[in-house]
Amino acid sequence: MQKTFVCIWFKYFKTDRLLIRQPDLKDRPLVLIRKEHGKMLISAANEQVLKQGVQHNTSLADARAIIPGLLSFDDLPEKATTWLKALAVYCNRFCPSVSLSGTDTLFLDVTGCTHLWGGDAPYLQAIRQCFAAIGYQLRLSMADTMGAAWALTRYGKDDLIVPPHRQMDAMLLLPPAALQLEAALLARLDKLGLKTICQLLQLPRSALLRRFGQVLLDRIDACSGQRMESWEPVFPPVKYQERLASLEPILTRTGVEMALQNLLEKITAQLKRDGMGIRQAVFTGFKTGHEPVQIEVGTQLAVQDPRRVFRLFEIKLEALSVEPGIDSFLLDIPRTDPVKEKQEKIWQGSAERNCEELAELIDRISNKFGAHRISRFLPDEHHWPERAYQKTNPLFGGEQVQWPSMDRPVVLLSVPEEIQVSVPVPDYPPLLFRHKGQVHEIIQADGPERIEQEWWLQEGLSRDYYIVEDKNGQRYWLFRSGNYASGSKPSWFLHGYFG
Amino acid sequence: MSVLTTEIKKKLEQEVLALGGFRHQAKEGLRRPDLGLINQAFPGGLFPVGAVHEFLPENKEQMVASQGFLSAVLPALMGPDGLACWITAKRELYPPGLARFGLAADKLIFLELPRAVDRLWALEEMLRSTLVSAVVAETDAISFVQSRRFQLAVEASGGTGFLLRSPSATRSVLSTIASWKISAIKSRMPDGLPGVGFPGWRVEILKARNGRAGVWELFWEGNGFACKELTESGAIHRLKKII
Amino acid sequence: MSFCELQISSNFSFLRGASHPEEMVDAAADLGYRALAITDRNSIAGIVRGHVAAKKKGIRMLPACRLDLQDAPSLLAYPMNKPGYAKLCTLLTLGNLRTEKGSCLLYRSDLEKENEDIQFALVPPRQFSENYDFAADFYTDASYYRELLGNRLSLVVACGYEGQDAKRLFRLQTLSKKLDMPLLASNDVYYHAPDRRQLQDVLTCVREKTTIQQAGYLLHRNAERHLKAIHEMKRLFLHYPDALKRSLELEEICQFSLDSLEYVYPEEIKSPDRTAQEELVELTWKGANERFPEGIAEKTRLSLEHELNFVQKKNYASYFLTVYDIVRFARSQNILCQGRGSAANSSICYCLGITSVNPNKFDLLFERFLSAARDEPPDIDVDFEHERREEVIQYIYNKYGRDRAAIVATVTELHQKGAIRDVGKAMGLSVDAINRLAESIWHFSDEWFEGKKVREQGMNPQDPHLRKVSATVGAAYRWLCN
Repeated sequence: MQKTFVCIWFKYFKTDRLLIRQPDLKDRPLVLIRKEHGKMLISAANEQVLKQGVQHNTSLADARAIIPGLLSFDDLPEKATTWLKALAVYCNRFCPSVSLSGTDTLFLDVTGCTHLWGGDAPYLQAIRQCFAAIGYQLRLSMADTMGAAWALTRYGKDDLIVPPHRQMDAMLLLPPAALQLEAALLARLDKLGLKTICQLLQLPRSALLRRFGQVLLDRIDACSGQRMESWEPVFPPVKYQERLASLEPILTRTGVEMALQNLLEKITAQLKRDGMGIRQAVFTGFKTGHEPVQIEVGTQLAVQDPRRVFRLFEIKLEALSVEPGIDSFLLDIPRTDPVKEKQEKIWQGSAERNCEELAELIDRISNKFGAHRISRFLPDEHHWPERAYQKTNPLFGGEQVQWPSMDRPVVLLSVPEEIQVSVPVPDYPPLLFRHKGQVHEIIQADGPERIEQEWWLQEGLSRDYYIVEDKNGQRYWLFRSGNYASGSKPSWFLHGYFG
Repeated sequence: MSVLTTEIKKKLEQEVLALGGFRHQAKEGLRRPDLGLINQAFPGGLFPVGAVHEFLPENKEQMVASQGFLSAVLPALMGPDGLACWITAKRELYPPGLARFGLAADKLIFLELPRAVDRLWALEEMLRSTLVSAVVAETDAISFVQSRRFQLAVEASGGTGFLLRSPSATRSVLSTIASWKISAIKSRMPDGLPGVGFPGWRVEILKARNGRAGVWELFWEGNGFACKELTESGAIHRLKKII
Repeated sequence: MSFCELQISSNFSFLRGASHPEEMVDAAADLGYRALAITDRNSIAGIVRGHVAAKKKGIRMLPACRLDLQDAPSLLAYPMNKPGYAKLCTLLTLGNLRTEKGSCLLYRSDLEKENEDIQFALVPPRQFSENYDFAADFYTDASYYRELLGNRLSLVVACGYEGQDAKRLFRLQTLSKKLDMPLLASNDVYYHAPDRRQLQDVLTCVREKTTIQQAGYLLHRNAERHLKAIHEMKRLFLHYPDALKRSLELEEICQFSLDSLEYVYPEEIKSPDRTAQEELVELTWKGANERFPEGIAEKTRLSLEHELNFVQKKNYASYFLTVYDIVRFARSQNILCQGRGSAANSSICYCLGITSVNPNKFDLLFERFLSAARDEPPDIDVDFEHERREEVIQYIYNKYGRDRAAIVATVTELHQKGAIRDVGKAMGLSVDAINRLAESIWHFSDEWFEGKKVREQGMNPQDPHLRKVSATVGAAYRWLCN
């Protein structure tokens, strides 16, 4: 398939970055320096400095000689990729796939994306504006191949959009350096008087191969599209993803809702064709010069109905901050599941329709508050009270469930609370207990129920549980940790309340 | 003058109830708990479903008593296939402890929402849903208007709501079908057995719409209720066992 | 003495009890018990060892067992006398013969036919309903048993520390009064000391073919099922002193002891008009004449007389005749057979043709075979030609009938690796881990328990779960090897 690439060259990447952080240096001559073989060399310089004739890799001393008021800052070369990646993230609003090149260039695979912005030119405009708002200067170009796009940002006109298949035409007058060749080879070509790519193309291929090697041919072929260029995206590919751009920034909630609905319709149509449904969806709104805003929703079952997913987003849309306007939207579906022909039955005896309805209900709640707020439980066969139940899926799990009928309290404290008791030893029920300053006289009691530790899970003291009823009829679950044996003084606790 | 047969009487009652907006109350074949003598507090002698009840515990023990009472009432509303929802600030309900009241905890959806406003939102969602037979929610402050909304929600869905109003929150008047106060009383031991017996509650209905207030003693006897009314005169009616 | 424990499951209740009869006896003696009873399920396999251990310790062990029926609740059974014991053995044999090896099927109809001279105790179910009561079936069955067994029925009560002890006891007390049958206190013992509970849990897993992580409510919730101090039993049954007393009453009523058993030899081995000794004497001299056709030497004659006198004093004649009969049959069929071992020291055996060596020729001492000092019956080992030994077995069965002859089996000791496998499985180890653990032992050495050998197999001996497994296997192995 015919691809289209945009190349973004951050011409003054490092110095722009510095300026963003120290805006008061705006009109000063700036360089970033690195130490090499004992000498301080220039890694990056801003426009002002370059215009005055100072080149990269000049020594700082020489540069100072030319520009006395030069300001120099330490470069952090190992950070370059990280910084560039951060900018790549910004490009996510424009296209699904971004790749890094060197320490100052990004490639965007914009195949099929530009129409969303209303055309190639508005598309490039949007990119430029996006980065300008942050403070970066760019050189942009668009072409069928990365090689050509790269060449044009360096040596061609800015903002050049090369029509399909015409990239070699656009490159004819560019120097051989535009082919990203090594310095030695470039020197040779220069010596031979080959100063334009046009001249190179006039030579027969076999001659080029013989005299200058495979590399030259490879580079030419990459630019023309004859040879495949390798592509290493910064982000892993997301299968289901849709973008929407607006000419005017959107300022109303209605506008955002309409964008979301539009994207949902598009994506669910694709998913339906593939027999898949949404399990997780992320909706992002990009603003020029501001952090993007994002909402995420998840579902219990794979959903294909766009309205259902919209309702889940709706819960959180209110909290979305629209100011000062959203330019483009992105809908990502990181997680999908195949949509089953027949929905599984939840529990026993529920109708099919109920399953979906219940899933929707659960989705609404879990998206608003978080899935961890919803619980459902099944019994777990353990004598130790804290382990006698287990968490399970809110919808599924647990046919033919039997809860053993045991004397257990309705309310169990997550942490047992210490009490003082008056009790005949060794293991009779207490006569009274004091809890939080209140004394309870015990009229009736059952127990002890002695529960030892489940030795394969945990060591520790056994517990003797007592069901006690005070003179007001209030019923409590108490336990003693350990036994009264030879002088030990075990602790007593309140663990629960009976209804 | 025609004789007022029981049938005609019943039909008239239903029509009156329907006029008063109690469509659900009058419906035949609805699942509802049978609380024996306590039923008499309500119009038609039927425990109100498709409505919102409120509970007014004064302390932790009364709160737990209400929770126990509701655990025994919920299964009747849910039936074998139904599901219910229990909304609390912090989950302290112990699933294995509900079985003794006949409530299977796997048929419950627990929501743990520390913020009161969240609980109210969730409560309304659950009350609206036709899938949920009963919802119990711990509430702090609620307005009358909110309670009206809940009432409308259950009238449409047919579910039953139970508000456990926090002892520490200010209690405004609400639009509920009944107000209850439950506290524990000494357990009843059959056959002179030692130890703690069948749990008992003092069940007080403070107000019931189109019904009457009263105080009863109710016991859960392992697999069903047994109830006796405590009348003002002091006379105690015979204990009637309800299956 | 104020109490004796009459409900104990030893390891002969297969995969239920976690202590040997000897360990139970030792522990009981240490706690000051003067009598106890081991009630294994449908088995009396353990009572001999228990009896011997008890005698050594100077306490009494009542022969008893627990009858698990298919269609009625379980009963503890205590023979009152020898006929009672015989009836109990008959019942067990009946149940065993009905089904495959290792199982025993008994029905109430069996009990209806045969239950005299035995004291019974009804074991109540473990479950208690929500109404704090037993299932209605239990009450019906209790009445049925009361009707069937008259006043030879008690009702077992135990305090399991499972929360409802007081209510259970009350219900059982009510039943006991209603049906007029006494309560019998017990601790429903499964192991002799509380630290055996872990092994008992592992056994449960092996029995139920599950793992310790999955066993759930199959395991006991506490370690109370051990032999308790008598003063503790008195405390637990403070309100039911009669239940404690009943254990003493039963001990008094059931005076049968295994000591009173002696072997009754079959009649068929001799002519009806002679005594066994007379028969033996005749056969011996006849055989002597055949062995020494030139005449019996004086030394030999003296030996024979000496031996025959001894045999008469000790009443062992029948035994020799029994063996002689089998050997005679074998020889008549030209089946090779040979007596061996200490029997070769006996001139009688030589003359009867049981052995082929003249003891006098080689100065073999009769006292090595039989002596007054050793109060044991004789032990004559005879080897039969392997391929034809089935014919000999058939002869015995045909002569005496299948209900009077049996092949004695020994309870095999579990191989070391088998022990590890079972325990490993029960502890939920993966198949791979189990194999490696089993391979890591040559024998249970200290090295193994220190983990050196375990480490060689690539497993971390410090892993807490693995340490648990090692400790349990070690305990199991030592226990199984006893």
